[in-house]
Amino acid sequence: MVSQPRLPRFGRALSVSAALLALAAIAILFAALRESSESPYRPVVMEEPLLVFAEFGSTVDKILIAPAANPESLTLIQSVPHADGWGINPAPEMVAGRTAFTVLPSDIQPDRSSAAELWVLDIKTTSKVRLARDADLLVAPILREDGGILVYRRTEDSGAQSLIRVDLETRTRRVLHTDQSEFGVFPIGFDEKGNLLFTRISPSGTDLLRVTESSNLEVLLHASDEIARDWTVAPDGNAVAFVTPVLEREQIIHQAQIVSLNEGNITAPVDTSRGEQYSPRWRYDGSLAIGCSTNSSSGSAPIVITASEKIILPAAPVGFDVPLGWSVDGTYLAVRHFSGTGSRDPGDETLVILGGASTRVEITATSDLLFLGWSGA
Amino acid sequence: MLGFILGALVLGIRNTTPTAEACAFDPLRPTAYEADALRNRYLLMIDAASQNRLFPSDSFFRLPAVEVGTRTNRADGIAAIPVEVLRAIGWVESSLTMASKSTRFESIGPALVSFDCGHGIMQVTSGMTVPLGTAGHPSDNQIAVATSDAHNIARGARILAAKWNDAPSSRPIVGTDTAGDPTLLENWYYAIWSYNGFTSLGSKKSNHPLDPNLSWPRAKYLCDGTQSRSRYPYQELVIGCMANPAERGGSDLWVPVPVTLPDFTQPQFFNAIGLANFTSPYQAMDIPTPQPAHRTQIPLTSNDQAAQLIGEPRLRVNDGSVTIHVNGTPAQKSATIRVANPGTRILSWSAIPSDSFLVVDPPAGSAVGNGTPCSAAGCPDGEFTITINPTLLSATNASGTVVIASPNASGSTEIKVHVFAEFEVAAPGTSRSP
Repeated sequence: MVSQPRLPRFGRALSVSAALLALAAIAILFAALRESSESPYRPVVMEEPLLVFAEFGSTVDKILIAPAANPESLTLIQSVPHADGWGINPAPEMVAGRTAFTVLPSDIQPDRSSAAELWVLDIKTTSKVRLARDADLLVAPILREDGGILVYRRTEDSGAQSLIRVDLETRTRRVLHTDQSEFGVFPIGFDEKGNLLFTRISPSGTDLLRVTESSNLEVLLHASDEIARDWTVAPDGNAVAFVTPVLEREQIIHQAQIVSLNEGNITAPVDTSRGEQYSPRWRYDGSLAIGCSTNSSSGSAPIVITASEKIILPAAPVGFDVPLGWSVDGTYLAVRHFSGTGSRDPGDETLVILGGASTRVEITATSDLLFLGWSGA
Repeated sequence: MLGFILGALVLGIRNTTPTAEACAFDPLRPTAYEADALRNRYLLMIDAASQNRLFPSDSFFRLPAVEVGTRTNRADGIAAIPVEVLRAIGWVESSLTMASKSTRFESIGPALVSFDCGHGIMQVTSGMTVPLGTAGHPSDNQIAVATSDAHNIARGARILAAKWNDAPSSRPIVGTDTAGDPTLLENWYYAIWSYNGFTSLGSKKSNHPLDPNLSWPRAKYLCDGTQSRSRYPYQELVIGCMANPAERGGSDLWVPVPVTLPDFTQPQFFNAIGLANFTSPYQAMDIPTPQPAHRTQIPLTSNDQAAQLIGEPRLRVNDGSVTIHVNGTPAQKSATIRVANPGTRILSWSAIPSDSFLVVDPPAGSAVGNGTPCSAAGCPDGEFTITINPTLLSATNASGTVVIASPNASGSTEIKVHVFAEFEVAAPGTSRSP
């Protein structure tokens, strides 16, 4: 039942027999990403990278920061009270020192369908501000690269789902798009012009769409006949990466895909001999980390694909890693480490920092840790 | 940044405070008895409910025949459900509590009612959203669900059985290779999902295990308060609690059972739950039993034990007549009525006023009988207060009645209420001297 992605606008995906051509396309794509990423999106690293994460508590989540080089040195910067048992659901990445999250307030009976609050947290000032009280809890908000715009999802009384744009300076809110699809829409990021990218899942699969500031809608890609997930937008906004399910050796595994939004070609940057692939995450220079698990007893490490090579990061003795995000300067990668062998038996989960000199440092805690992002200050 | 903060402080937020749906007792809340902290009473009642021993002759609270078989040969089986599933659902729904968190164990307090009208231990929502009795009052069944632990558990068990029986007409089957055997815990996967709503991927209430909003992969739910529920579909919460029981008094509340989840790396499970298949009646979502499978351990319970848990509650109310002076002293402005249970176990009671100017709060509750621990203030009797809404009085002198009855004890008592509302009326344009 699984299928390769197809492109209604650009033709069918490249077949396996065109593997050589695909590799060439990857190289071109990465070269382009690297070139374009050098000017507008090069980060300003103020100080050492700081990992920002949340520690789940039954009624209050703690927001903590820790230096990547010394993660035991924790600083509590905020506490977020919430409905009993229901922690925050953060944006996948921090932008411009800000993170955003949905959360069920403490004064309502907890239920996943309750209207959630939407908050934005400034890491430098540690101030948090509530932006809305009508968000869908399970759908993570996303922040635009400049940190000035946020998009979240709201379910209307009619059942339609709206993607709401919030200007963080003026606090004005505007519906960018309302959708009546059978399953749902999910904001994933912004393209190079600041237009919202989102996915729509329907009985026919997962599509990638773009909506402009003037609410013009465009279907960019049919990504999969099934559920494409773990979407991430390249730092220059010109490409997306995600994973799709494929049938491999009588098992369903996920495989990473990359799509150039300008050219529309889909490529699979890592062959399935690397086993299941997870959660591609871009680095500022256009390199891409992809988690892998080989269902073996020994550890599986993420792969980093640069414009010129594939680098295998240091693996744990056992288990596998699911990338979460690169530090602003690209020297550290936060991952969810699983002690098991793969999706069938993931084992226990911990938050780990992979760094230079082949280091792996686990953040220890007595409850779940949730990655919020990296701060350079 | 300053502008950001100032803007955040100054500009308004759309007032979308979550609004409660109407519930059977709105705007008031009944009271309920909270049993022991070790949950012994509730666990014994769950044992009994799982075997249809609590109210086997009551069509609203008894278990239906639980169907057995695949889509082509479904037939009625015995009226029993796995006790393990019922326990874990009770824990996920309410931590096995009947009253609100502020209520001490072995005492009476406000009943547990969620914003979406989930009531009590099993958070029964079905049939609890609007009053279904006469003249806009709650029905006896609603009162029992809200105030009687035994009825609440029995009703939750019946709803769960109904979710199972929704297959194959409107739900998929687990156990295509095991004849849909309801004694296999793994076969309850879709029924558990349905207890919280058989919601699709992408909805705000999604319980779809492959929903992209839920991280993949994910560690198992440990049911120990260290993981956020928002990261798991409902059925994984319940199955996680079956494998990882809470501990009270130094012991696990139940024997752990490592129920196997469907393995979505296997095509037979992944394909079944595919997007195109999520359409009623979901026949393409039928799946085999996840292996290794685990069979329910039928609890040692008996009709006598169930009868002891339910007891023989009796209704007794002393006062037959009260007088209320609307403009009297604070003590004269209301009347408090105590509801006693000279019988055993838990009495459910309701107090129904005859007229709209009579306000009865709480409108229903519990009273504890002999032999049942109830040590806190307010025990063991129930209590309600009658006050007057003067805007609904048609005359300065009025009278009405409040009928106290019980869904689980015979008889009723009528309290006569005499109301005096002798207001001073000033002439227009004048004011009273201080």
